[in-house]
Amino acid sequence: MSCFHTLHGIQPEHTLFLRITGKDTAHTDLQNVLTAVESLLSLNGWVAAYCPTLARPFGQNKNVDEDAYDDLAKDDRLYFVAMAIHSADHFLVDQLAVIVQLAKRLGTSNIFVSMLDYESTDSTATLTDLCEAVLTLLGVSFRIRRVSGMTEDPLAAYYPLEEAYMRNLALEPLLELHKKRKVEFYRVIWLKGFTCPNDILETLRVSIANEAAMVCGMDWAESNGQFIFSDR
Amino acid sequence: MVPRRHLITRGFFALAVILCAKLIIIPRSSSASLDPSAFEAYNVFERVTGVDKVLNVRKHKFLQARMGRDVRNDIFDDIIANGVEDYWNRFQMPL
Repeated sequence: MSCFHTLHGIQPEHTLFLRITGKDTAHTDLQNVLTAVESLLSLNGWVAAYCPTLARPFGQNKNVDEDAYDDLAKDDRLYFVAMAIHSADHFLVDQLAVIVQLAKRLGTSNIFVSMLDYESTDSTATLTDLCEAVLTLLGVSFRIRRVSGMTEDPLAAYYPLEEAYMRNLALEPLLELHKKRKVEFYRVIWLKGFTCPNDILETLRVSIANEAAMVCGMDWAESNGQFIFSDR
Repeated sequence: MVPRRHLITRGFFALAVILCAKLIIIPRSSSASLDPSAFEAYNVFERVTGVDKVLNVRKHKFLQARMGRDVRNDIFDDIIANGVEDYWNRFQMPL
């Protein structure tokens, strides 16, 4: 981006604004974000690049090229993508790539992205700026929110309660849209860690068969020809 | 007496002049009102495709929201913290 601003010039840290505000640089900024979107669509991040090569436990996703998941796209339903990010800057760009892929498949005005930055200490805050720029330009509705931790001392955090608090905050737009605007979503898609776009579409299909309201990827790993999963 | 052929050629010439004048004058007068910012309000794509989606980010600005961004220390932070601590110490702290 060509619009860098430094707040508090005395302090060493720089704050990066990805907002396109200056008229003279708007064109270059737009081009930069469009290039970013293009590279996100090519899906060659450090985890996303492995998507076509991974083996699936039940042999799903074999016909990646032929199956376009048209049945999910043609119904024009609303999907709510929820993410709780706690210092995960190594995943975030790839997850954004997945969201862009989903927007491409399901339609940009059919998904709502809710990102909750739960007191991340790494560069997540800067990367959410990138997410904001990309989603704004694509016309995808979103709420990116940063909250401070539930408990002040991280050692005192009670894990399940903290996790529930975090996820409920990520789901807040879902309730608000339903309460105030009567917007009903068809499925909630939880992006936890990294899930390949086709696998998300596959889980959506499974969720129709199971009549499940929310879908979430699982961490499967192959060990001695068997599949195990290590998830909490 | 003007010959008939001349009359026809003159008629054609007059027509051509009028058409040329029209072509030159009319596009100029219409393009003068075209301001690049004027397109924004018209929602051309929405009108053409007939899209009236629920999640329409151009219609509802609140659909693209950012919260808690760049929250940094404020000049009243210590006063507020003092008040909260005082309230906790006096009324809330379990005995």
